[in-house]
Amino acid sequence: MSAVLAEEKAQVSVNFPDWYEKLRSEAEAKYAELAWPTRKDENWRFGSYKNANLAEANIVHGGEANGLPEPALENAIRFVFCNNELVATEGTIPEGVVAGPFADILRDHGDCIESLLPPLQGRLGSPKLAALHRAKSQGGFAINIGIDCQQPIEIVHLASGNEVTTLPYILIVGMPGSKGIVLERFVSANETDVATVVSVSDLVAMDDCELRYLVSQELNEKSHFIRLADSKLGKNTRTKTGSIHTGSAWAREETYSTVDGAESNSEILSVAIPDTGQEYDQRTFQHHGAPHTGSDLLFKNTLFGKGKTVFSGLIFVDEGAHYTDAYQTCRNLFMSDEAEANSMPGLEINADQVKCSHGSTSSRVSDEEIYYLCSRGIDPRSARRMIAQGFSADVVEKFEDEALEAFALTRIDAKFAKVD
Amino acid sequence: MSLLIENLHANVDGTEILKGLSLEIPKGEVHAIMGPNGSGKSTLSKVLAGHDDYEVTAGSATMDGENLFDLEVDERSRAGLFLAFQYPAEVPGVSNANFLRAARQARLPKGEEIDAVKFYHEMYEKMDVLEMDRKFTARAVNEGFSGGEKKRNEILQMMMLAPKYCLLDETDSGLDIDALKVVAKGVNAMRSPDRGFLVITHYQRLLDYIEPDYVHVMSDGKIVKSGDKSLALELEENGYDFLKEEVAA
Repeated sequence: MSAVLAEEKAQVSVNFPDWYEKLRSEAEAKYAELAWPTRKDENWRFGSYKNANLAEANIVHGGEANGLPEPALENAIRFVFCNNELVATEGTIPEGVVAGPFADILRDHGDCIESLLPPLQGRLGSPKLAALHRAKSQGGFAINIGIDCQQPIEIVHLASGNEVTTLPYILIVGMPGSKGIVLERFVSANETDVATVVSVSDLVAMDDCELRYLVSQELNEKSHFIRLADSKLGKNTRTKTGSIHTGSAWAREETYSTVDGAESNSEILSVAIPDTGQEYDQRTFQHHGAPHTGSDLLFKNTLFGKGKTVFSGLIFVDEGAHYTDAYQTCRNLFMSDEAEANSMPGLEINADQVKCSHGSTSSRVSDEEIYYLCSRGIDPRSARRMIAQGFSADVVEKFEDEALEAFALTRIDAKFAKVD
Repeated sequence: MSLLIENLHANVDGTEILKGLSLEIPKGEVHAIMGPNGSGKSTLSKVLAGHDDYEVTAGSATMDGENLFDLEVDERSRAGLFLAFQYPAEVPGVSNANFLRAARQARLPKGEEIDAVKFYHEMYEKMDVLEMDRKFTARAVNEGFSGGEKKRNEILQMMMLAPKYCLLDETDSGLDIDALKVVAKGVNAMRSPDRGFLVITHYQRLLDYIEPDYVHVMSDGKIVKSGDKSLALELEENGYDFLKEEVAA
């Protein structure tokens, strides 16, 4: 164990079942064994690998919320966490949905969770962080949706305190035949405190499910954010997962999507709008493990000032996963000459009769588009902004949920108002 | 009150295209410009609407006394000039409704907000005239539109922005006869004593539906002949050979 961890502050003690404590001990051992990423690590190519070990410092659980953010979605069942500790809830959980602090859910539904819990994450470059997270995360949240849940579920993670690290966790389980909408927001308690948020999410969508899951990263521009996201789809299931990055100084997101059930489709979406002093590093893996599966990834980055993005994605089709339809697109829109976008799309196909495509494009706002808008009386600044907003809105529309789309557009508009 | 162009000279990439063009379009009149390929018809419309690729080297253009060349592209539009493009740009991600709304909003005094209900009501009314499906409001501006749909969209914008002077650059190109009739219906609905039109076309056909008060022939960057509607019929019958004869003479 590292010296920093050994000196860690006293934590709130959470009672996990024995089997989970065992996983935590194994994770702790793994954490001690593994090395931090280096310059030579392919999974961190073009990325700020030195930022990974920020997570070691001063891990906290709970803190001063100092007021809660306004709800993002109307009629949502809402859970607010401060440094991974539940501080507020709103709304009534409908029958057929189980939601609450992870430790409580483990206590009451441990057997079910044990069989569902995906393997430790970090396969896209951050196994040490994944191990640290499991070993040290005290809180977390779990949702089990067993019905067609019309009410969205909104989870807010407040990061509070200076030079602290928090380790939020979320497990979302869609039972067979269920439908659900989850919004997860990461927000800073103020604009000045430097926090590192290392978040892990596991999404398990069983057969015949339809789940929408949007993450909004809106931390203050001094904070750091790492998110390891895993999703696994059963048969005949549709998921739309996505993230909007408008905050933090640096964000790293590793998204691993496994489509193992026939006739299932995983849509993976992202909007990132970095400005000077912001770097967003996204790594993705679309894993097709069964025939007749689909995935569609669309990431759009709009880069202002000296903003930087890194995208590295791989579509991987297993042997025997015939008739896979998999697509991967990363588009960068440059709003300045000084921004930097690095894109590394990839494809590995080990099956027959597949339809796969991958690609990345980078462009500026077209002069002809601006001219056209101006020719109708719209001033050039507004024209540029409309085009850039439209570029991002294209992704948001794919969520096909009015409330999520409206929230996402609000976030995007707020960011444009700030940078432009 | 007119759109007055006097001795206009303009270059593209250092080559002079407009070579001393003069033309006056008073309000209430429809003027048509015809002419062979490369005579500078489209250049004239782009120069008037303002485009960075075109450099005005001499002459003037005023709109109701206001110097057009003192105004930026967006200012010209807000001052009341409208160009229906031959090849309208596609703007992915920006819906037609939002685009039109922003264009209308740009014409309001600062702090005043557009009345959304009235706006949509008016837009739908005009779309009905142009026989446009309501779905077009949600679609990205011109993205994936057919040639005919793009032209209808140009006329929809013109109707919604109610300009003082309308320039139509080969609006008939790419239109089948039914679409042409619909587009002409939209334009004719806008004819008014308070509005002037300059219709650029290759074919007399369009002028069967949008009847001009005057027809001008443009050649080598200048107006070389003007007349009434019968001139268009004459050109349709005899082509532009007379220009060569006049040059030879």
